[in-house]
Amino acid sequence: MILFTLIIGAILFVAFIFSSGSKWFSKHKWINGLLVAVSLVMFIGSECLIVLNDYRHLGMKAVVQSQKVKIYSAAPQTAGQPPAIPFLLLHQDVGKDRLYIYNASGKGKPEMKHTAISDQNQIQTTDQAPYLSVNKTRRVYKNTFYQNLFALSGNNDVPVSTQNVFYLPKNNQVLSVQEAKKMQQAMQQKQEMMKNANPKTIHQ
Amino acid sequence: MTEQTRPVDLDGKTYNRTFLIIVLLVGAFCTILNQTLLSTALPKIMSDFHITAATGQWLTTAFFLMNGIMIPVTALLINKISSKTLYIISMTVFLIGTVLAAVAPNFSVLLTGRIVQAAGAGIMMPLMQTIFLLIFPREKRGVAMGMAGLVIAFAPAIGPTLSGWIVDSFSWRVLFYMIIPITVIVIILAFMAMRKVVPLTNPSIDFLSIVLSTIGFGGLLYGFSSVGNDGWSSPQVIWWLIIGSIFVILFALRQLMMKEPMLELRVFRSPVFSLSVAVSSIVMMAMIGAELVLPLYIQNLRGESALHSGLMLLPGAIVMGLMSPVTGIIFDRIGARKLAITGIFLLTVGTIPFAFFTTTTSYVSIIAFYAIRFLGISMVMMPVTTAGMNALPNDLMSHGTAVNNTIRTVAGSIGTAILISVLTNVTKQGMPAKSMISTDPAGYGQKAIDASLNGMKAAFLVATCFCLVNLILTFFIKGKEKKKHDIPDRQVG
Repeated sequence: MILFTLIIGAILFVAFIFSSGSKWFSKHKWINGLLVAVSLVMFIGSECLIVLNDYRHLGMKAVVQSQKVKIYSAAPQTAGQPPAIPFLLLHQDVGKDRLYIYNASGKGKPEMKHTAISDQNQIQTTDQAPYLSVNKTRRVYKNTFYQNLFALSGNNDVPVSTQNVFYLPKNNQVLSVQEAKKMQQAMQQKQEMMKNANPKTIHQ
Repeated sequence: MTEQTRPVDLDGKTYNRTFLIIVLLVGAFCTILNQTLLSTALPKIMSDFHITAATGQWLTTAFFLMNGIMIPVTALLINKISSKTLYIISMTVFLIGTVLAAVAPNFSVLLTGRIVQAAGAGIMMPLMQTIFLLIFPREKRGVAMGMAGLVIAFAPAIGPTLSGWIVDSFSWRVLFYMIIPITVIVIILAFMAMRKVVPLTNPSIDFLSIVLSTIGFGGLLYGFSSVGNDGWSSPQVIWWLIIGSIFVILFALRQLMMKEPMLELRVFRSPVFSLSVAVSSIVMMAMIGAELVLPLYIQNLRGESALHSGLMLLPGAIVMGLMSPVTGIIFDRIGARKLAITGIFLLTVGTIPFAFFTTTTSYVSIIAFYAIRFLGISMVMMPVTTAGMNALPNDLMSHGTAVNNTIRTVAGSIGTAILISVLTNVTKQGMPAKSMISTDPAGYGQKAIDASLNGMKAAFLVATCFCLVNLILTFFIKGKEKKKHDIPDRQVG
């Protein structure tokens, strides 16, 4: 729509200026002047609206889409394990930006997913089952009027920002991947030590 | 066409003007197309010959330099050699260069082929304009120059798209092979179509003038075209600009002192001509510079391919091509003043949005604003040039076109140098420190994008300033609409 008025405005503006020397317009100069002015307003007005929409997001509003994702500890809890082992959430730091790595599958093999580098993250505790709340802010048209106005020239449904809030049980531990690896190694060593140590104790 | 208006050549024989025009236009189209034909094909040529981008860039730079060096000499050639012979010679030189480039076994031969091509092509543009101006009476020159403008604007604009499309499925050699048959046909037809239309004054050849102009304009053009890569402070740029300026001044002094100069600089005594050169040169600065900056935005910031960016710029070129003959007709009716003011106004208003682009600006808007810019340019370039030429007597026509084309070429390179250096400097200033990549990669990425975007915006703000200066200049152009239209009106009333 706005592109249409932009192009038509420009063409009419040029056409009315070119035809200003014609017989009819020379006699009715004020009509020619009026038509030039109207087409100019149409042309410049459309241009301003396009720039305002693109640059200042005229006619757009931010919409927050919320989504709840069930998450599970990165170290899956087997049935026999004591519940004393804390809920594990991993993170990987890229510079000062932190990517959280979480497990999205409760059964079988863990399904590890991570947050995006530009996301804002928060961690809170909850008494309920742990979950991740994803709030995606997107820019959409305020109403169908703007949608029709900026059809083709505008950008609908542009992602603006994402906010992640991790709701974890009180007994949780947030570890970096490196720390987790170290801990895993330490655990394995301990287990092996225990395995090696145990037969001896039996013999004694 | 009635017998009375049938055009007559210098031998007094009648000839088919339309046939002559078509042969001239097709020939000029092939040569001018070659200015930009290799830009998208460069990566393939680089990998074929195992050369760097900087070396490969010489295929375009050398063409541009040779073109610029040939243009000031054309006034001499046009007055010395019959227009028919000169046209056939320059097309043959161009053909030899094209064949050399097509079969080139190594990079040196390809580069030689390009330089030979450019020698022929450099003569074509002023020769075509001089012939067009002379075979039409003053009141019909607008249409004639409009048709010349169609080729001059359209050919370089479709070059990158055409080559991108061809190189996608064929070898880059096809770019040259496809021109060979057209050029051969044009040369054969030229024997029948072309006539002696430019009166010969048989000027003596002053070799010192040729040497001065070659070093002078070559140095200036090379200096300005190196600014993009090396910056204004590079000693190489400074030296070439100093050497170029000194030789151009020496050249100008020699021309003013000679009785029979190679390039008649006294054409500047006509204020209308001088003004037309100034206005069309500034338009050139705004046009060529923006033509280079916009693809950088589309390719580097938006991540589109060269072919896509070429396609996005194509509608603008089509608008200009289609409008050129139309504005020519209108020029013949209402004169240059209204056209120029309206055109530069559109160019200015069409350039402002580019200074507000974001990383998500829709491509449709970019295409629309780019086309509006070219709608404006089509109303200024050729009409203003024609108005300037009309102020000169016929025997100065070849000098007028040579001077106008020389200055426009230099202005184009200055415009490119200014806009590209503004873009690079603003981008560099805003660029975050490299150390930020490890500490804050997301922030670094965002800042780097912002810096490039600001660079582009600054370049377009400077382009808008060029347009505003030009808008003021156009108000000094005299109109002829009063004379042309008031008289019939009074008769009617």
